Amino acid sequence: MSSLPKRIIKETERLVSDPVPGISAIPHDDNLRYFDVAIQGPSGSPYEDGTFKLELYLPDDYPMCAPKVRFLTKIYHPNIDKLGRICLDVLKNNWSPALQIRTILLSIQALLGAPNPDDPLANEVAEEWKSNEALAIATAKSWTEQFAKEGD
Amino acid sequence: MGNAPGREERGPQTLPRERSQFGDKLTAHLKRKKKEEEREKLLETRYTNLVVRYQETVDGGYLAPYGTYKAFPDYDTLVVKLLITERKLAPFYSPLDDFDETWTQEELLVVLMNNLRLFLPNRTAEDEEIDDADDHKLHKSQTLMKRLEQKQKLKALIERTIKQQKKEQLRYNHDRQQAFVSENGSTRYPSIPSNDLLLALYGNAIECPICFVYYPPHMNYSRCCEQPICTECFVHIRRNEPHPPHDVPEEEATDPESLISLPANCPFCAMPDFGVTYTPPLLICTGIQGSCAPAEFSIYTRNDLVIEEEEGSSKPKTRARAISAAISLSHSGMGSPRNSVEAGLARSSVDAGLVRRLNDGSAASSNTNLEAPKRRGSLAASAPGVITTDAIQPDWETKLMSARARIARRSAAATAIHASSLIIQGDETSDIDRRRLFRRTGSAQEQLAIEERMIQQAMKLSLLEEEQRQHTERARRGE
Repeated sequence: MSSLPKRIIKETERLVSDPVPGISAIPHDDNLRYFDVAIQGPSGSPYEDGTFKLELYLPDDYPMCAPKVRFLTKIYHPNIDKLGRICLDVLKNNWSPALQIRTILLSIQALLGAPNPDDPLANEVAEEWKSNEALAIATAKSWTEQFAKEGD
Repeated sequence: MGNAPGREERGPQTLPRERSQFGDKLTAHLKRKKKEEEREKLLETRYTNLVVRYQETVDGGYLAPYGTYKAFPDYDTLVVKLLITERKLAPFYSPLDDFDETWTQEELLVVLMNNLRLFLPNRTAEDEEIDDADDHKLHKSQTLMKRLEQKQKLKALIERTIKQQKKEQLRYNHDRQQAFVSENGSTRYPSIPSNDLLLALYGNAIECPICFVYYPPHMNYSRCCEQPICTECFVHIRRNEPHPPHDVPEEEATDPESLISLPANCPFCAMPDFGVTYTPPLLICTGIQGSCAPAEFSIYTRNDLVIEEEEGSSKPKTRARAISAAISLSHSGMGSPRNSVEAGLARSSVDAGLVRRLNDGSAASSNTNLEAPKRRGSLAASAPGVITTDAIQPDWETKLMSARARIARRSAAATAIHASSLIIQGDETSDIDRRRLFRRTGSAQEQLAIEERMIQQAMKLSLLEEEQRQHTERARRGE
């Protein structure tokens, strides 16, 4: 483990000592670059009261490149596709090494509260969102009910 | 190719055609060979420059990175070395993993003795990304051997570099030990920093907001939002790889000219054209182009700058003296364009902090009474004293050109494949028609021949794809 950069160690420690409300990120014992993440759906959004599981991986050149993040829980959202991949600028070209696991997860939580159907990743969902927002929100709610509320 | 017109002018009589062709080939070969040698030499210099040597020291720091990042950085080592010796960029300091302001001098010295290293030994030759990947995949038979050879050479070079760095570390450990125990240690090992220097550097260490380790407070500051950044993080920040403009997926980029490469943004405020400024410490000027050797540095030899801890009326006077000394020092010119009166004032509060600490931190002294450093405001990327990421990584243009060439090659290959499939199809234009044709009129033999060709084509494509996948995999693992 000597090769784990100090930054990753310190970020992990600080995530534990000063946790972000509604977000948890716990590294795997056998791979400290791999995190199990859970994000609470923001209140007032169709994802409210849901707990969404994600996986987060810190590549070798982190923090010079963005962490790889993916939803594991099925979610109905115009910027998240069937495979759980997320369309978010800070995970791609707008990544900055001054961002952290903490800030990235907050950005993802914010994305749940503010879907952006004009820059879609899941085209069908985005179409639905634009043509019949009420129905799309209802679908998102029912998916949250169905997939993001397992007792564990 | 450039020689062709010349040949025509000379005419066929002056030189037999074959011989002239042979001559062209020879010169081209020699040229290529020379270019290759130059490339190797450059590479050699680059890796030699990445070795931290404790005798190459500037203000208690070094000219090569510590190794916080596993991959060797990609910056222009000659430019950076020059900037550091000219005090235009902070030197690469050995970081501390942890730091506690409440440590006493003695505690801090013990921590420094036990933890300061020249480099972090976590690199192996396998880690290094070997570039080229799928550059030439359609002509692999011609260049494969050469590429393999180049890779071997690079690997050997990296191994040599790592070995050399280990030797430097051992030498440093030995000399430091000797300097510590022997009587005239400081004269025999002038580049080993004195305790005063170590305390002056690390007494007020601050954390780099990107790599989360502690450095002496004289950091580089972003030109736009004045955030600190250590030199090692700075040299790792570079442009994104050349990419198609927003909204065009990479696979669909066919027009090589559309590829763009944008200057790196500030990691803190996202301002384009990231650059930093650096103001060297006023009290510390040791090593290369410095005023004394690191071993000779003593805070007590600079009585003019020590703020005396007497109570009473003399205090403001000494403080004034410290400031004026600081200003006069800054005017004496250490190469930084930011050595203005203002900058002198701004830094002097930090330096006064050091002095106080060196006087064993007694009493909450004048430090806090000094004028709060004036906010500098943001500077343009072209302002004097600003070092941009492009200035230390000037190879982005070459990278853009080669990315464009790669796309051009790829689309040419795609066109070729497309054309060849058209030839196979003959007059038929649509798939459905073709299938109908097979069923109705095509002889069994014809069908077999066409199918075989299609299978061959598919195999060729999948082989190419697999090769590419392996390359990228290897490159990724190597990073």
